[in-house]
Amino acid sequence: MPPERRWLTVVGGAVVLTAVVVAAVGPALWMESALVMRTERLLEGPSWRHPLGTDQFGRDLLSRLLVGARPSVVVAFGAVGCATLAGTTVGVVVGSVGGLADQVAMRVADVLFAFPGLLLAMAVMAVVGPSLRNLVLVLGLVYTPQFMRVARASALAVRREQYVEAAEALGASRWRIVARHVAPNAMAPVLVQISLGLSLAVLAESALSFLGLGIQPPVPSWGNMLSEGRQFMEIAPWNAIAPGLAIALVVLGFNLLGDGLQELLDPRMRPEGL
Amino acid sequence: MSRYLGRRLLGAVPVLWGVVTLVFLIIRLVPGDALQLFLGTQVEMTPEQMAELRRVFGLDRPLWAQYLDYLGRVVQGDLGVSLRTARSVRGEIASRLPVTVQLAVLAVGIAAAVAVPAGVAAAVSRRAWVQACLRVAALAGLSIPSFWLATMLVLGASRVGVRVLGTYVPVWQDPWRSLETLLLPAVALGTGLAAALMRYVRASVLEVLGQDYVRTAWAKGLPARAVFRRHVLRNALIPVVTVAGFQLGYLLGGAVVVEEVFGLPGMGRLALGAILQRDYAMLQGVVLVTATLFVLTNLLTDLAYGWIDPRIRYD
Repeated sequence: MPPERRWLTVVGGAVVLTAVVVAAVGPALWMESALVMRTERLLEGPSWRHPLGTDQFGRDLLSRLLVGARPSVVVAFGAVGCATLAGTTVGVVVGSVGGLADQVAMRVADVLFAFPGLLLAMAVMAVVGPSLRNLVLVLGLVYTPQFMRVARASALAVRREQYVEAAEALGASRWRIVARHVAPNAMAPVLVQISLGLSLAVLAESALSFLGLGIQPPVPSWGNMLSEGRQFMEIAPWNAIAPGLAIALVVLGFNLLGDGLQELLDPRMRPEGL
Repeated sequence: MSRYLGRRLLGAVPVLWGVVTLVFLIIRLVPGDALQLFLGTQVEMTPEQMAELRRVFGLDRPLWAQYLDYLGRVVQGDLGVSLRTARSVRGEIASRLPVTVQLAVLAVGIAAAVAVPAGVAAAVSRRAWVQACLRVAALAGLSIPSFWLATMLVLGASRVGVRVLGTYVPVWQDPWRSLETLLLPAVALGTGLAAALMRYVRASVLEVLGQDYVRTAWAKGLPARAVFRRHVLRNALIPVVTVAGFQLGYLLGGAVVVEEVFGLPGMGRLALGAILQRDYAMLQGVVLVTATLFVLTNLLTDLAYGWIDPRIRYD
C-alpha cells in the first residue's frame, strides 16, 4: 500500500474510533446538558460558552451533537452486527452445502433485494414503530441479503480449494469442514462488506431519524437534529450544518477504513484506488 | 435473444410473487390490532362498529383468504383504494410516478456527465494533484448525506436569492420551468451517485487500457483520440451502464428524503405521507410498485448490456 493510502486508512480508523469513544462517553465530554432548555439563549450563534451555538429551545448544540453520536454508532454496529451474523452464517452454510437450501436462500435474498433498502426500512419502521431496538433489527434485516451473497460467493470459491479437498479425503464431517475450513477462509470479503455496511447504516439511520421514523425528539440524533435545524436554517444555519458534517465525517471514516481494509486483505481487488 | 428474454421474464415472476407476499405480510406484522392502529387513539368506537369495519376491510376472514384475495387483485392491477381519501391507489401512484422518474433520470444523467470525464481523467492522468483532487472529491461525494446536501443547496440558493422551492411543473407542460424545479434536487441526489460511478469508470478504464486490443490499436499507429474513443471508452463504459441502471432503479424508491426537502410530489413523499397518515393500502401500493419497477429496471439493464456488448450471448 502506498504511504499516503496507508495514512488515509489510519485517519479513517481514527475517525471511527473517535466516534465510538464519543458514543460511549459523549455526554461527559462537555459540561452542558443536551436536554436543558433555556429561553434566554434561543438560536444563539457560536460562542465560547456554546462553541456550536444553541438551538430553538436554547439547548447547547455541541452537547446534543456529542450525545447524538450514540444512536448513529449503536444502530450502525448493531444492525451490521445482526446482518453479519445472520447473513454470513446462512451464506457460508448454503454456499458450502449447495442444493435446495442454496436455491431457496438465494431466492429469498432476491426478493429482499428487490426493495430499495431505505423504502423497505421506512415501511417496516412505520409498522413496528420507531425505537432504537427496531432500528437495529430493521436495518439488520435490510442488510442481511448483501452479507448472504458475499459470504456465499466467497464460500463457493473456498470450497474448491485443495485444503478443503484434503479435509474431505481425511474423512472430516461436513459441518467440521464448514466450520473449521470454509468459514474462516471465506471471511476477507465479509470484512470489507462490514465496513461498507457500517457507512451505509449511519446514512440510513440518520435518514430515517430525519424523516421522523427513527430516533424521536427530544432524544438527539444527528438525523432528527438536522430535521429540526432545517426549520430555522435562515436565521441559525449552524443548527443544520453541524449535524450534517458529523454524519459526513463518520461515513467518510468508515469509507476510508473500508478501502484500506480491502486493499490490505485482497491486493488483487483494489478498490479502484480512489 | 427472444428465448433469453422469455426466460428472464419467467425468472422475475417468483421474485415478484415474493415481493407481493412480503408487502402483504409487512402490514400484518403490526403488533396488536391493525385496525386500532389505523384509527389511532382519537376515535371512540363501539365493538359493533369495530366489527362492522373489520368486515368492510375483510379483516374478519382468515389470513390465507385475505392473502389469496390480495394476490388476485394485484395480478389484475387493482391496488385498492386509499384508506384516507378513498381514491384509487393506482391513480394516485400514476400521478406521482412521473415526478420521481424525471428526477431519477436527471440525477443519473448528471452523475454520468460528471463521472465519466472525471473517472477517465483519474485513470489516465499522470499528475499527482489531479489524482489527489479526484480521490478526495469521490470520497467526499460518497460520504455527504444527500438530504444534508439538499438542505445546504436550499440554504445557499436562498442566500443568493434564487427561488428553488417552486411548485413542480411536468416536463411536457413547460420543460424549462420543470428543469428549474428539478435541477437542485437532482444535483443533491446525483453527487453521491457520481462519486460511486466515477470509481467504476476509473477501474473499468484501467482494466481496458491493459487489454491486447488497446495495445494493438496503439501499435498500428492510431492517434490517441481514436484509441480512446473507439477502443477504450466504448469498452470501458459497458459495465458502467449496469451500475447506472441499478442506480436509476434504486432512486425510484430512494429519493424520498430529497423529495421531502424540496417538497416534490413524488413517490417517496407519497410513501412518507401514507406512513404518517397510517394509510396502509397506499403504503402497500407504493412499496409494491417501486419494488416491481426496480426488478424491471434491473432486467432492462441486463438486456441493454447484451445489446451494447455483442460479445455477450444469451444461450
